[in-house]
Amino acid sequence: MSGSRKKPIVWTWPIIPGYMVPKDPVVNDDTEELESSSSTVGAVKEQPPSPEAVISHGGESDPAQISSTHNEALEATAEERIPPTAPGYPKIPAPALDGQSGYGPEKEYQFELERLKLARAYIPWQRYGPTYSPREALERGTLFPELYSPYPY
Amino acid sequence: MNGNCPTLLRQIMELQFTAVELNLFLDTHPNSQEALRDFCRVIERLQPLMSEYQNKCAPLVAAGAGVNSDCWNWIDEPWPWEINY
Repeated sequence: MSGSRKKPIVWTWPIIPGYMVPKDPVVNDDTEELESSSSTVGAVKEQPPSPEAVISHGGESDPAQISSTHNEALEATAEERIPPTAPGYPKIPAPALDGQSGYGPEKEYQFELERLKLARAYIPWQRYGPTYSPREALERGTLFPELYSPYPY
Repeated sequence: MNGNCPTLLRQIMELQFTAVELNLFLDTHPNSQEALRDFCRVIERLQPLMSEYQNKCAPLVAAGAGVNSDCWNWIDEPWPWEINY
């Protein structure tokens, strides 16, 4: 063993290669503004009315409006109809860790599921934060409060 | 086991576990100076305790025979799971 440190891994989070930057980047934590960003994605393509905008709004729109706009969407070509992202997923909240988190500010942890590709695994990047004492760590089976997750027996 | 040997062993186990946890974190975060600092602190505390235990109490590993004993005395003391800490 040489004892030398490992080659540094340069990683940022979230790790979503080429997928976190939409045509019209809208970086916002506000849910309402998020929804408008869905519309914006459609607007960028200049295809009125945008099918993905309709679908991604889900049940929050007026039902009558949905059906009429939906018909228009069906008349569109298949290429226009298929949304580039999965429709209408909510934002995933940061886990509540009572200030014990090693993840840093909640803001940085939040992201929009809409922009993630389906059927892929994503692992949030752990950050070094407050740790348990050695005694507590041995008892709990982990040094890191954010990894302490006992079964609810 | 005499005197404070079980307590000493318990402290060693706690610090060794902490060292393993920090080691694993450093595997994926080799640039974390905070984790490296804490790892070094743990090792600094751990090493004298291990020396003390092996001198006063019992070997921690087969090759850790104490100075005043034969070379196969690592089986003399109770196994870790037989000790009431």
